Amino acid sequence: MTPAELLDAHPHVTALTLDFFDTLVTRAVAQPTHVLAVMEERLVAAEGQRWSGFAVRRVVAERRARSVLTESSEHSDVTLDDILRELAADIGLTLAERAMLARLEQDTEVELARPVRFGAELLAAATARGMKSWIVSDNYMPAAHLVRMAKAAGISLEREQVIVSCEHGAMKHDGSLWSKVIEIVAVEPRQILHVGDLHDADGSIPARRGLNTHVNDSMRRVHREPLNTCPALLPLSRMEAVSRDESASGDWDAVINLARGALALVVAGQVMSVERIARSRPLAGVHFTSRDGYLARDVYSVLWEGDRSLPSPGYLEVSRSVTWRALLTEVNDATVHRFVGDDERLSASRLSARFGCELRSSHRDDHVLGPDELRRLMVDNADAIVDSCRALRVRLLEYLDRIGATSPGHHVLMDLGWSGSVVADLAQIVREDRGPEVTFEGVLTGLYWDASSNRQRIPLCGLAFDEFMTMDDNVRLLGMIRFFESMLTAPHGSVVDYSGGVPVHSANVGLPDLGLTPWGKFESNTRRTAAEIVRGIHPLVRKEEVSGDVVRAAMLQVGHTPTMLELDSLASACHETAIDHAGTGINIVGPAPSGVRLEDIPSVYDDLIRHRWMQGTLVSWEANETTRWIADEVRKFGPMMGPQWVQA
Amino acid sequence: MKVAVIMRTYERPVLLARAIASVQQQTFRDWELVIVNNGGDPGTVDGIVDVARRTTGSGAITVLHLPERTGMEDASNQGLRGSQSDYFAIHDDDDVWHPDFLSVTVARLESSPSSAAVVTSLTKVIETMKGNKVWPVREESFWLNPGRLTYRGMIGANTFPPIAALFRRSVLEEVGYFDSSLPVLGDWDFNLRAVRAGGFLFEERTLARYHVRTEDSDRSASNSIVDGESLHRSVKLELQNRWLPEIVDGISKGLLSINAQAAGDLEETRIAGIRAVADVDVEAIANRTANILETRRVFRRVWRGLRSPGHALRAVKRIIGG
Repeated sequence: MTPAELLDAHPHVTALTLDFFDTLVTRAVAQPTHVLAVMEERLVAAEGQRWSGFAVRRVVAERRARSVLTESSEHSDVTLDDILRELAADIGLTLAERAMLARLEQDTEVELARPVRFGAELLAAATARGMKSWIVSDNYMPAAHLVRMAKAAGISLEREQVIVSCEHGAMKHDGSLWSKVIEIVAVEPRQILHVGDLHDADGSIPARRGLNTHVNDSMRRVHREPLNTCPALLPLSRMEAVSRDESASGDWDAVINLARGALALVVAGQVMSVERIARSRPLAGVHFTSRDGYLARDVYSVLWEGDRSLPSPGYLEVSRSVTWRALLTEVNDATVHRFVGDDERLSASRLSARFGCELRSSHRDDHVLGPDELRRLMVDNADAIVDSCRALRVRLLEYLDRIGATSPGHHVLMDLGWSGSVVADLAQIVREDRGPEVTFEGVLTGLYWDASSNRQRIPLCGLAFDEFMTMDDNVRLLGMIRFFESMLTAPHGSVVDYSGGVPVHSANVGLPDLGLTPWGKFESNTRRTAAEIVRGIHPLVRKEEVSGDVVRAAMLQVGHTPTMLELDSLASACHETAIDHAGTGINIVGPAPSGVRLEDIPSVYDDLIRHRWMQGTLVSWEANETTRWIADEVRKFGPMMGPQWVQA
Repeated sequence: MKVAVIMRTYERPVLLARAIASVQQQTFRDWELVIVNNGGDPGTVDGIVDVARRTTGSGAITVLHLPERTGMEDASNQGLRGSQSDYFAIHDDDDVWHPDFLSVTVARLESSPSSAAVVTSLTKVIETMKGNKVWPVREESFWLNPGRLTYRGMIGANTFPPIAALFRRSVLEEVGYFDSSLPVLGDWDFNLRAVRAGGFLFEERTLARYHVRTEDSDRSASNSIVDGESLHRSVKLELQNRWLPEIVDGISKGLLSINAQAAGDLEETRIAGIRAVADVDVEAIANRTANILETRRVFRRVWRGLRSPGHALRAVKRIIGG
């Protein structure tokens, strides 16, 4: 609906009231609390680490100020002074510092102010029709400040009166401000049209007073948990703000927002971590491993096209199933557990296919066997399996020779993550067969604690996560793995064998299901944005600011606190689970278990963290009244799975 | 080199590999890592260092293989004597640094030339290690503040592990090296000498992670403190006895230590006492109170009945009548 159409739909209306934030004026960041992160960045740059963590503490101070006020007064809103008084009690501020922070917050808000096109056009259209307009806002800033912000956004509020909750001792969201608004506007409520972005404060509550209302919440599409605010989030926040503004009056594609935001930052980070190494020492090869390094390889190629002094990009197709088999020299109790999961039930013929050889069995080919029978079958056919694995190892090395991955010197392998075991296994195979003059280094996006043992086999570094960070973040990473693997995986099957130096892929070639968004569109947006970042031409993100912290923040912001719009779009996305890469996999967002009891919560937690996108699943359960309690209980069991990931 | 990082190790390859990576990932680049292999298998350490050297980064890695196992402090001293630098740190092979540890601590000492050391906030990580696998169990914040980094704050007990500190090397010339005769707590003894030479700065940012293993971990993975509690106690007593004749600021250093320890113990007892009171079974108290009140009510009824028999008779009739 255009502004003119909206006014046409209410011909009897003579007065317009407009909400301010995210209706008339927005900020150049994804959510309001990110303004505080901009302040923190400036404070730290000017005065040092003392201000580190300011943004989140300031949000906490605001909440505390509100709760103090609620105890003493029913309808008043807090003021900036109340908030800064609470902050001063928390972190110790002088009066001069409080004054400085108040000024800085107002100046930063003004600097980041941007017009909301729909609201600005509506105001202009109403004025053109001779209607009077008022601005009505629940806010702790004075009216004069809102006028200043509007002016900075190119909107003049000289003719309009600005009614702010903190100056009237009443609020929109509890209804108390509406009596005052009706009194000030001085027309019948049915002659007023109110437009805002909140369904209750701007919709149902004024409607109960007899006002006509219109809610447009398109500017809230990128709002996530307010407590998650820190300077490392700002590159993503700026990107999401622009996506939000560009599609404010059109359809929202949550997947494309991910592509042009967090996922592009991850891919850019992957490429830049490799570039950094390539520029600091001579390398025999740079290899992006399949399937997670697919997009990064393409983006690195763009970089390499512009600078041929960099090593040429390689794409090394390998998988866990291939390296495990290539290293298998003995079938015993320890090794059989690697190849048959505790909950797997397969036919003998599928197990044969898993090893690429005929396993002799007394069972019919299609007879389904349990894990113990399958493992026994492996032991009974140990010789055939070992022979087959030995032959696979030869074919793998033939492939590695062909792509130049065994040439003497140091090779960098880039992979998404998570323990580095695949690249370490590969390095071991090459070292054993081609000698110590071929060395590998693993450059991973995320490493979790299991990496410790692999560090003895191969140098590893984790761009965004490693065991030098907090344990909570490591567990959060574990919960998000399925999401990132699904989004950043190449649209070809996993490699299960090699033939004549060429990879053989699994049969389950299928494009990831991204709902209404075509894979090609997702892929091209991610690739294009990441390429702009690494080439240093992205309008919002400076290349030098893409650090591990920035990538981690982007990963946590979308992976740990996804929006419902994102979850709806990814409802059918699946993750491959079988070691032989057969089958369609399972949905990353899990369905709520039925008949679950309180004592089942530990096993629900365990299942989510092992098989699903845990945080995405919890957010989807939380949105449903009947399953909300399960999400709450799981978060009590694993408190790091609560929405806040920025440390207070 | 600006910083010498001394890393003592003995037969803990998986931890050593992690500790080396924590040094290599420092954003501050001007460091030399001296690994002192304290009598362990040279081949294992060389293998890990060989892998580590292949990584991209700066800084040099030197390995000193000691022919047989010696004390921790002697191993530190050998590492220190084998290096040259403006600053030094003792980085145990089971602990790790945040990538910004050296950049922040070096900057703090550069801007405060009179300080002997800087100590950062740290996290205690409790982990289990079995075979070649290490996994975290939980994290705790390690209580530290500027007061605990003064001579008086440190005299009662060792207040921080080595991983949290960066020292100015000139301190070694002023107060001497680590006391090789001490099997444990050599860092405490050194810290007490060093703090009198220049004072310690406190860095609020949490930049170090001090790891201890759970009791069910492999024996080889144990911590000197967790595993050798009785040894720590006896060495502490020995040190306090040794310090008794030593007069600092007109007071016996040994007595000062004993008093500070007693005050600390008293404080802990007080806190434990408060906790014990808080942990009393509130429900049991409530039940007991309810019983007392019920008994009182019955007594009151009987007493009223005795004082006014007519009233009692009417009450009995009411009960019987239903």
